[in-house]
Amino acid sequence: MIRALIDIGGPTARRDMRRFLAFAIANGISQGVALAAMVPVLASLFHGDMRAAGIWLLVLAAAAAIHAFLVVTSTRIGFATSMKVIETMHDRLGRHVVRLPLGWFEPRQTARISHIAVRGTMFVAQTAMDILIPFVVNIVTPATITVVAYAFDWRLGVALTVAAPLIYLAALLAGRATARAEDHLHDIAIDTDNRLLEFARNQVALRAGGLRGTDYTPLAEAIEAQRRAGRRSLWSQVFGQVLQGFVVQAVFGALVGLAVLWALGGSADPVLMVAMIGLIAQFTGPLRILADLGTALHRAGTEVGEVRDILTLPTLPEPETSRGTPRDGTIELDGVHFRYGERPLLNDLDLTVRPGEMTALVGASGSGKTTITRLVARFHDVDAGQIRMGGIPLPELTEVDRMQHLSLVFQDVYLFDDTLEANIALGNPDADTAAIRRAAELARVDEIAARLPEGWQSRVGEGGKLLSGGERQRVSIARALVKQAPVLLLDEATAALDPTTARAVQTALDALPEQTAVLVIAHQLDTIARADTIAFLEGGRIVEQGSHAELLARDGRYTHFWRQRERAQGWRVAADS
Amino acid sequence: MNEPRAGTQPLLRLLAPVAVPVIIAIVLQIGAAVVSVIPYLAILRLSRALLAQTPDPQAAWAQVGWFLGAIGLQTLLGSLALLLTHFADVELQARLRRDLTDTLGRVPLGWFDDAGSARVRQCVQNDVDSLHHLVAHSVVEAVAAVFTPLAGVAFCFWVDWRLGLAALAPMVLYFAIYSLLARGDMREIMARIAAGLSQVSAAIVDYVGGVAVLKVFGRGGEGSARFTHVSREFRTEFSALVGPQMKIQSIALLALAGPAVALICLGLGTWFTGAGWTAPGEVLVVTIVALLLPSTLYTVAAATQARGESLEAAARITALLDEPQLSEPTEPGTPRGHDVVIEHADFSYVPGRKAVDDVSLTVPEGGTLALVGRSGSGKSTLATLLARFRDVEAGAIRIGGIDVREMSPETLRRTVGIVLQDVQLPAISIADNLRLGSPSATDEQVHEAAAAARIHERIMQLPRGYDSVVGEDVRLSGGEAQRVAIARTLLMDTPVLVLDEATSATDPESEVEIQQALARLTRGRTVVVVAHRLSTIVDLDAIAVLEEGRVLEYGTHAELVARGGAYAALWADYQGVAA
Repeated sequence: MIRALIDIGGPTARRDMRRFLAFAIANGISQGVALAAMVPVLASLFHGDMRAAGIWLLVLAAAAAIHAFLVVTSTRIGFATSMKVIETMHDRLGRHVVRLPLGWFEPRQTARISHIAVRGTMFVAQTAMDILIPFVVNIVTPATITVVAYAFDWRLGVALTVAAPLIYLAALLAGRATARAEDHLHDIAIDTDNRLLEFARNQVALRAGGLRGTDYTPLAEAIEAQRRAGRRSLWSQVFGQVLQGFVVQAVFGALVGLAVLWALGGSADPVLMVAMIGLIAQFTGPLRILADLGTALHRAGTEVGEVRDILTLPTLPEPETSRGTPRDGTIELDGVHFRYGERPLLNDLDLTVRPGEMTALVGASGSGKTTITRLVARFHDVDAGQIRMGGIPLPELTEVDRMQHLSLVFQDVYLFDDTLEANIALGNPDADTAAIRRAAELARVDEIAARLPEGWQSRVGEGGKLLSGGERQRVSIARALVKQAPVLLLDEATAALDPTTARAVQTALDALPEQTAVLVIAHQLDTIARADTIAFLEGGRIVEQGSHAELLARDGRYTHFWRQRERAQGWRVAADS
Repeated sequence: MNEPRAGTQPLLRLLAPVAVPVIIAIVLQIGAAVVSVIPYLAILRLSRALLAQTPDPQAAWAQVGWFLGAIGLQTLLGSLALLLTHFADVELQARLRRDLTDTLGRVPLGWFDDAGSARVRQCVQNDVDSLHHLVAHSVVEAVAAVFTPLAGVAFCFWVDWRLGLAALAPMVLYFAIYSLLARGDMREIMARIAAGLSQVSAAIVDYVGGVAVLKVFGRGGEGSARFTHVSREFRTEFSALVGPQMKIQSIALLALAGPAVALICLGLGTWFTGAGWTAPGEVLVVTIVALLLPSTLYTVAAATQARGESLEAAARITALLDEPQLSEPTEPGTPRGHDVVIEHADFSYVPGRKAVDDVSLTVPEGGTLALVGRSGSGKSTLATLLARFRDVEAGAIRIGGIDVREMSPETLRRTVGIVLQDVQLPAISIADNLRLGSPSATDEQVHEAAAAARIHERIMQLPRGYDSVVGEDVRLSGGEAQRVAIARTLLMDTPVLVLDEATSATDPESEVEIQQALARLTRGRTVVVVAHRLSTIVDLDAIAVLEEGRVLEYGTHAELVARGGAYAALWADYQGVAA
C-alpha cells in the first residue's frame, strides 16, 4: 500500500512518507522501551528496593513522555501526508480523466471509475493511517521488547525471538483462511447478485410465467448455494481460529513454563522471571493483531492500486495547438482499419463525405455503422489508415478545435442535468435566445417545453432521464441546429422513432446550412432515399455505394434490403397475412 | 430508503428466528468472561509460590496448569459462541433472502420502475450482509467487551480496592482529557465531516460522469477545473475540521496507551507497596489487567458503528418486507368470454398528476384496439394496467365480466399475455425461456411455437440448440429476442393480448420476420396495441388517442382522419416522414 500511495502522491509523498515512517518506528521503539521498563520496576518492588523502583519509574516516565510526543506528532504527520496524497491524487485525476478517449466513457466504465476514485479518496482520508501506524508500531514494539529481553536474560531473549514468528505465522494462516473463505463466498454472492438483478429485470416475463419470488428456481438455487457455501466456509474459518488459539497458547505456555523452570532451577532470579511474565503478556497481543492489520493493509493496497491504475490509463495523444485549420467540412476516411478487442470492426474502409452532401450509412446491426461515426468524432484512434477533417488528420487537431467543427446527434445523447434551454445553448454559447428558440421549434422541442411544468427552465435530470428517448434526441437536434458546425454526425437511433421526433429529424436536415457535410446512420426510408450517397456496409467494409437510384438499379444487397424494409413498412397489425 | 432513523424494533423482528442460538452464545461469552480472571489469579499465586522463602515447585506448576487451562477454556467458550452466531447468521441470511424474494414477487410491478433493480440488490444482498456483522460478530463481541473488563476490574478490586482504582485511572483520565479538550458539538462536527466527504464523492461522480458531455463540446477543461476547485475546498474544510479533532483524540488516547497505563499503575503500585498496603505480586497482576482494558473500548466503538449500519439495514429490509403486495381475491372469479372493459380507470405515479385519467374503453371479444398518443400520454401505463402490473386507483378493468383484481394470479396469467418492446430473457436455456409461461408444454409444442414465431431455425443453428443458455451460449439480437418472446406468448395461448410497442423492431433487418410472428400471434385474439408506427394500426377495429391520460378521440382510422383533430395531426406528421 505504501508503494501505491507513493506512486499516486509522487516524489513529495515519498519524502513525507519516509518522515512519517521514521516517526512511527520511533513511536514503536519508545513504547517497547517503556513497557520493558516495567520489569526492573517490578523486580525492585519484589526485592523491596523502593529507591531503585523510584529510579526505574523515572525511566519509565521519560519513555512514556517521549512516546506521547511521538504519538501526537506521527498522527499529525500522518494526517498531513494523507491530505497531500489526496491533493496529488485529485490533481492527477483532474488532468488525466479529461484526456481519456471519448470512446472510453461508457456508463459502466464511468460508474466503475468514480466508484474507485471515491473509495480511494475515502480510504486515504479516513483509514489509511489507522492501519499504517498500528501496523508499524505492532512490529516495532515486540521487536524492541525482544531486544531488551536479551539484556534481562539472554535465554529469554532467544525464546522470544523464536516465539514471535510462530505467533505471527499462526495468526497469518488464520487470517488467510478467513480471507480465502470470504473471497470464495464473495464469488458465490456475485452469482446470487446476478440472479437477483435478472429476477428484478425480468419481472414481467417471470410473472407472466406464474413464477413469483422463489418459484424462480435459478434464484432460489443461488440463495441455497450461497447458504451452503456459507456453512462450508465457516468450518475453514473455525479451523483457522482454533489453530491460532492453540499455537498462541502453546507458545505463551512454553514461555511461562520456561520462566518458571529457570526460576525454580535457580539459574535465573525468580523475581525477574515473575516480572517477565507481565511483559510476555504484552508481547503476544500486538503480534496477533499484526496479522489482521497485514490483511487490511493488503486489501488497502489493492484499493489504492486501482486508483493508480486509473491514472495510468492510456490517453489519446493530442497537440498543444492544432497543426492547421480544417478548410471545410470534408471528412475523409482513408484505408481505415479498426478492431475492438479481438473483434475486427472496420476493414480497409474508404469513404468521403463532402460539404453540402449527405451520406447515409446503411447495413445490418453490427456492420460497423456506429463505429464509423464514433471514429470521425475521435472516440477512438484508428488502428491503421487515416481520418481527415477538412484536410487535417484528426490527431493533429486539439479536442477543442475538432469538436468545434462537429455536431453530434448520437444514440447516447449527451445531456446535462441543467435546464432545457441551457442544454440547447451548449451547442453555441454565443447564440441569443431568439436563435435558440428558433432551433428548438424546428426540432419540436417547443412541444416538450410546453409539456413540462417549468417550460424552458425545466431541468432535464441526470443524463436527461426526465425526458423520453425521442425527446432527448430532439434536444440534441436543436443543439446541432444552434451550433451550425461544418460537420453533422447523426445516428437515427432506431426505426422506431416516434412520429414527432422522426419529423424533427427531417426538418433539421432541411434547415442545416448549405455547406454542411452530413454523415447519417439512417433507418428511416425517407432519410435513406434523400441521401446524396448511400454506403451499404457489410462485415466492416462498404460493399455498395451510390445514390438510391443507382443502387436500386444495381439490384444487389441494397436492393434486397430496401425491398424488405418497404414490405415491413406496409405491414399492419391484425391484417390477415 | 434514505436514512431511516429507525429504532431497534425492525432489528428485533428480523432477529427473532435466531434468538435461541444468539442467547446461548451470549451466555457462553459471559462464562468466558468469568473464566478470564482465573489466569490472573494463577499468576498472583504463581508469584507467591516462586517468591516464597522456600519456593514451592509443586504449587508453582499447579498454577501454570491453572493458568493455561483457564485460558484454554476461555478461548473454547468464546469460539463456541462465535461459531453458534455464525451458523445462525448463515441461516438467517438465506431465510431473509428467500422472504425478500417472495415479497418482491408479489409487489405491484410498478415498484420495480420506481426503485430499480439496484435497490433490489442493495436490499437483498448488501443490507442482509450488513446484518452479518451484527449477528455473527457484534453481539458476542459486545458482550465480551463489556463483561471481560468488568470481570477484570472486579478482580482488581477484590485483590485490593486501591489497586482497583489504579486500574480504572487511565480510562477516567481519558474521558477527562477528552471532555476538557473537545470543543463544540461533536455530533455536529461529525455530520459536517460526513457532509464534506459526500460532497467530494459527488464531485468525483459528477466529474467522471459529466466530462464526456463537456468533451463533446470541446470544453472538457471546465469539468476538470470545477473538480479541482471542489477538491481544494474539500481539503481545506476537511483539514480544518478533522485536524484539531485528530489532535484532541490522539492526546486523549495517550491516557490509554501502554506506557501511560504502566506508568500510572506501577507508580501508584509502588506508592501502595511502600506504604505497606499491597504486595508486589498484586501490583503485577493488576497492571497486566489494566494494560488489557483499553482494547475493549476499541471493540465497543467498532461495534457501535456496525450496530448503526445494521439498524439502518434492518429498517430498509423490514420496509421492503412490508411493501404492500398486490391483493389476492378470497373468492376468485372466472371470466366468461374475453371482452375487455375499462371503466373510469384512474392511475397516477405522482400524487396529483394523473397518468391515466377517467378512461373508459371497451374491446369486444376478438376485437382490436390501438392506443396512440405522444410520449407521456399514458398509453403504455394504460396497457400495463390490463395485465395488472399496477392496480387502478379508481374505476375498474374487467375481462369477461370479472375485475382483474378478482382473478387469481393463475387465471389472470392464463387470460392476458403481454409482449413488450424491451424483451426480457433471463439467463436460462432457450427452451426454459419459451416454457416460462407454460411449464408443461411438450418439446413438440415448443418447437411448433418457435417455428410459428420464425425463430426455430435460428435456434437449431446454435451448437446446443434449445439448450443454449441465453447470454452464455448465445447473444441474441434484438429482433431474435423479440421472436423468442413472441413464441413464448404464443405457447401460453392467452385469449387477450397486449402489445406494447412490440411492432417497433430494434433490428430493422429482421423486421419482416417479427411481423410474420406477430401476425400469427394476434390471430383470433382480443388485442390491445400501443403503437408509434401509425401505419401498422390503420386496420384495427378502433383507435383511441390519449393525451395527458385522457381519451381525446376514439374511432376507426378513417373516421379519425376525417375528423381532422389530434389523430389527423399525428397521421400528417407520420405521413410526412414515411411518404
